[in-house]
Amino acid sequence: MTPGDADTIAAVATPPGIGGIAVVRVSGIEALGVASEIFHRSSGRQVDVGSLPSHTVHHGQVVNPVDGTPADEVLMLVMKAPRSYTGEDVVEFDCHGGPVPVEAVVHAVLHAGARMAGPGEFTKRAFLNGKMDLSQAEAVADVISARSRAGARLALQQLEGQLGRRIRDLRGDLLDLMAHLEVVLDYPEMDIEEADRSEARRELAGMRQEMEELILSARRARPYREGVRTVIVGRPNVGKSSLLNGLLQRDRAIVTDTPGTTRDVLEETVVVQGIPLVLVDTAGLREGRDRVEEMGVERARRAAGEAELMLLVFDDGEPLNADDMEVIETAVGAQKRGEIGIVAVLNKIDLAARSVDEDEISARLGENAEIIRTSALTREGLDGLEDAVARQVACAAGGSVDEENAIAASARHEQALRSAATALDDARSALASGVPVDLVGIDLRECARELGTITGESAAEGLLDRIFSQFCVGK
Amino acid sequence: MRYHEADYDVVVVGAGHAGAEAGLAAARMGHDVLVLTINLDSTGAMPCNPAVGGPAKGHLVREIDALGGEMARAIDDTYVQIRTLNTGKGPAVQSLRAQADKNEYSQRILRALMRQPRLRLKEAMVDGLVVSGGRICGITTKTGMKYGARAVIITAGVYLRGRVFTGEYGYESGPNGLTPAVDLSSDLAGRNMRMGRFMTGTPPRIARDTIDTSKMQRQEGDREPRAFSFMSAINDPLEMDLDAGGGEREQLACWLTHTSDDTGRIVRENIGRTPMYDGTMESAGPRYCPCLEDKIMRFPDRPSHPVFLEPEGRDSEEMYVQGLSTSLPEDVQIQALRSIPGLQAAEIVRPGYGIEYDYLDPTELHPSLQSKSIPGLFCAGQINGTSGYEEAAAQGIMAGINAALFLRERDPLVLDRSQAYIGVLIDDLVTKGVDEPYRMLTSRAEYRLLLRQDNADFRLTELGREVGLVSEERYGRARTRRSLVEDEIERLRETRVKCDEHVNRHLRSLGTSPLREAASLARLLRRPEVDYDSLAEIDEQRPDLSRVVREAVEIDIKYEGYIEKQEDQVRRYLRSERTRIPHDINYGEVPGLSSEAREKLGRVMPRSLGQAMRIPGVSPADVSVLMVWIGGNRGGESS
Ligand SMILES: Nc1nc2c(ncn2[C@@H]2O[C@H](COP(=O)(O)OP(=O)(O)OP(=O)(O)O)[C@@H](O)[C@H]2O)c(=O)[nH]1
Ligand SMILES: [Mg+2]
Repeated sequence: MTPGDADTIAAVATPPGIGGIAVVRVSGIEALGVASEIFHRSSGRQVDVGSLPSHTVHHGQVVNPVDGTPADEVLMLVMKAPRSYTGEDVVEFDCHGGPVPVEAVVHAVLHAGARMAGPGEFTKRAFLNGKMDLSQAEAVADVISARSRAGARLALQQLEGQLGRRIRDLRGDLLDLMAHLEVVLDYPEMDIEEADRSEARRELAGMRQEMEELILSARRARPYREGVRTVIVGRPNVGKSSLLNGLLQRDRAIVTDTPGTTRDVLEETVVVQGIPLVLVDTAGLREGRDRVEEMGVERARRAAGEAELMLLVFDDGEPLNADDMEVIETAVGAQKRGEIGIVAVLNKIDLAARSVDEDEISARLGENAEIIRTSALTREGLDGLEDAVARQVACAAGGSVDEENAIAASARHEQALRSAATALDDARSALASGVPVDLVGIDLRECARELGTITGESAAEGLLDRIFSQFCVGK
Repeated sequence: MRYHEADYDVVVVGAGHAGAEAGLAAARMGHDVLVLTINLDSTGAMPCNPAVGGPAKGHLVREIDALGGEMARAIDDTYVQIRTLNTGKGPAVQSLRAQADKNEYSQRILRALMRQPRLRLKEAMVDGLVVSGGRICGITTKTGMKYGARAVIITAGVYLRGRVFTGEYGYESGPNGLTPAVDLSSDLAGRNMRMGRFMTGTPPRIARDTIDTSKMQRQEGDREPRAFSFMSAINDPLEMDLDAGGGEREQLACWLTHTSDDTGRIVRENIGRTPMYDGTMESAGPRYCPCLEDKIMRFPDRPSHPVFLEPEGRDSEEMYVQGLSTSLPEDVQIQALRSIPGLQAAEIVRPGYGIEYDYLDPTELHPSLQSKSIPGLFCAGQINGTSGYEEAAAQGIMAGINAALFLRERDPLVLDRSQAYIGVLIDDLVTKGVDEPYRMLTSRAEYRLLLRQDNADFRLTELGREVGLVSEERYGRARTRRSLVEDEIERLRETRVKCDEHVNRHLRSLGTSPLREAASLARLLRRPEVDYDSLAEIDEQRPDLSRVVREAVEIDIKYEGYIEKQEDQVRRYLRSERTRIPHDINYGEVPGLSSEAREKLGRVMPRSLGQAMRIPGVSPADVSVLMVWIGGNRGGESS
């Protein structure tokens, strides 16, 4: 067995939602090349990662090679073959633990030519390259069996859902078409009418359309499987950090009565009515009093820009002031950029002042935004806030939350759908350019295989079943 | 007491297509071989259709030939019609199909066996195995004989507890009225081998002078006939004459007609009179080759089904009615036949019949076709749940080779799915088992673009030579062709044509766009409108090459992109294929396996992780667990 697997694979190596740091691991002959393409030093310069010594750590940024957007600030660990976990060249990126930076880094890595690792694939390579001893192997076996078993059960349940049905239907249509195209190859003497190529192309175009929609819905489902980025904004001292702690049900953020306590963004994951939220607490928005606060405010604005859901916090004990209006404007700006949920939280209702003008807020944010009154101190109204959050997420996802489908569309499924789409495109252009049917079959089979990795069916069997059930063939 | 007549290295039970190849292979590899058959006159018999080849089956014949087998040469010598099928459908699925002269073919195989040095062919009804110390050591016969053997190959076809029926009339029999093998079947079952029951059928034969061909469509053989064997004159890489061998042979026509509405009605009205539909039969028949009853009942919307009339031989007065395989009562067969245009006056000379028989669950076998429970015992052919002469012969040659290698205590020759259709066939059998008679199809081969009939010699002849089955002459031919092909590909890649008016005029005349700059001939050849021959005009240094060389060159260049895609897929496949599973693994000790996987893995005993992945009921999670376990225990042993 040679260590040189043709593919370079990537995956998040740390379990999701644990710890502040996530590790994105890349392994394979192209790992160093992939890293060179996306890693920039803090100075902005790119480096040839292959020339860096093994087992060294480097600080810098991962930049998406396609559109040049920065993904995250990272520590990069270089481990060259054979002294690595898998025995191949391995590069690990330690990035911030939130779903957004992790996803951005994974995307950059995939764009640079790696492919998403299948379950257990790193371990498989490690084993193939003789990098595992008995005790390690057993430990990993337990984890794999426990996890993939639970995962398989889950996947099966989820595949009963709508998304699963659509993928199975799609695959079924594809196999039907393949059966039509292929049956004449095995039974040239039966007078079965040959499938019409332009008809086949039309059908494939329809399937491609459906695939595109599935990819899109998988993308839409991403917030559900990776968390809805929920940013808490408001002027200083209105109780943002207190609300975060309230939703988390523990004291995570520092709370004081000094305005400007929170200086940096802080992220925590919490599940609200089944929906994972990535809660982001930010510095209060106002003219910065010093350099540090100014930077904090700047970061708060940037965080607001990435929000999928915004909690605008106001102090119900005081009428809206200029800083509050600034906060509202930030939300209005975000609404203009795209689909975003907004909840205005009028906090500190225990003080019973009721000074905020609700109509003013409604007028500015439109009727989709909800207004909720809470007391972070007494927890009054927090349930109502959670309800409102769930409603807003549903609304942003196009009306209803289909949690089942959301979970089914894992990153691996999305990747499989994309590969299937590529194969389908190859088949379509082959059909268009007059390539013989048996060769078109190679691409179609690849496409069916990829879809089968989602539904857990093998291509060959399904195809034969179809040929035999739909065509009267034989001597 | 049995009379101990003699000892052989290998005894082959059966002299059909599997037995003939098995016996010849073992003898040609230098072993003393005894081949036993119930009836000498049925050696190499074709009790069903008088044809060899077709998609996937023709590929098998080529592969058997490339390994040094007999089938291709026998059919080349005896065909009465030969055609290349699927010519317009792409390089992977083109295949030869020949109509055989049944008797001549059978005689041809009989001679090959009888004249083969080290091989003795005899008539005998084998009634049991002799096993001692857990190993095979011979067989016994009904007439009280005992033959010692270090290896035994059973190729009993459909004879095991064969039962034939035509309508209500059923009786114990093998095909063509031959005695069925009952004791051998009980002997195998008594040794705890899993057996199953299948059925298949054959159509009626009708008198040639009772058909009216004026109502049928004539089907001719090819004008420029090709040949199956790489050893035939026309497949000699140095032979320039297209008529070499076969060109002068007169070919017979086949005839095409169709069933009518009446045929359907007659079958439906009498459907209760066949044991298949009256509920007395439980065995599974093949879906890919349905009998007439199934066609009518399962596809009620189809107005008609094609029926081919094929000569059973050059001098035979019998016609085989392809498409009308049936176990209906004879009177219904007659009525059904006479409802078909051109057959209104047809007279049956042999009624069609169904036959039920015992088969051995092929997961009882290693990929070498050796029994898992009795070392030295091999099984090949229809007994393993396959159908078709070609499938049988393919297993036969492998069993013969592997029995010989077993005697030499050498590793078996196991072809993988990327090497040969034979590899796909045997891997499917021993990994997945069978739930209907298994027929080879091109769509079973995931790497079929690499498994073309034109390159079987490149794929297999070297391997055949390594085991000692391939002659120097055959090996020389394959090498010559390979180097001619490689040189020509190289030349086409290197030779650039100028972008001038002469070239562009020619390209335009071919319906393809003119050049803007100089380009290699290989690049031009990749255009869909262009083929190798059409480039001659602008290819000044073209060498004079035979057709079998030119065709291979053209396929390699034209489909390079797809070939690379498949080679990529093969690399992926081979990675898991090369990770061996230790044969003494105890699946009960592997934590984390599902109980279904444990049972299936224990039964199939896959040799590699890749094979384990293909077992129905073994999930990817089970494979991961297994992988890590063997990695931990064996430190990643691989071949
Ligand atoms: N009475 C009352 N006090 C509250 C409530 N929520 C927060 N406070 C208090 O208001 C003060 C500021 O709370 P924080 O949660 O630190 O406010 P913040 O918006 O995060 O402030 P900055 O980080 O400085 O922008 C603290 O003294 C809290 O105890 C509430 O619902 N009722
Ligand atoms: Mg704060």
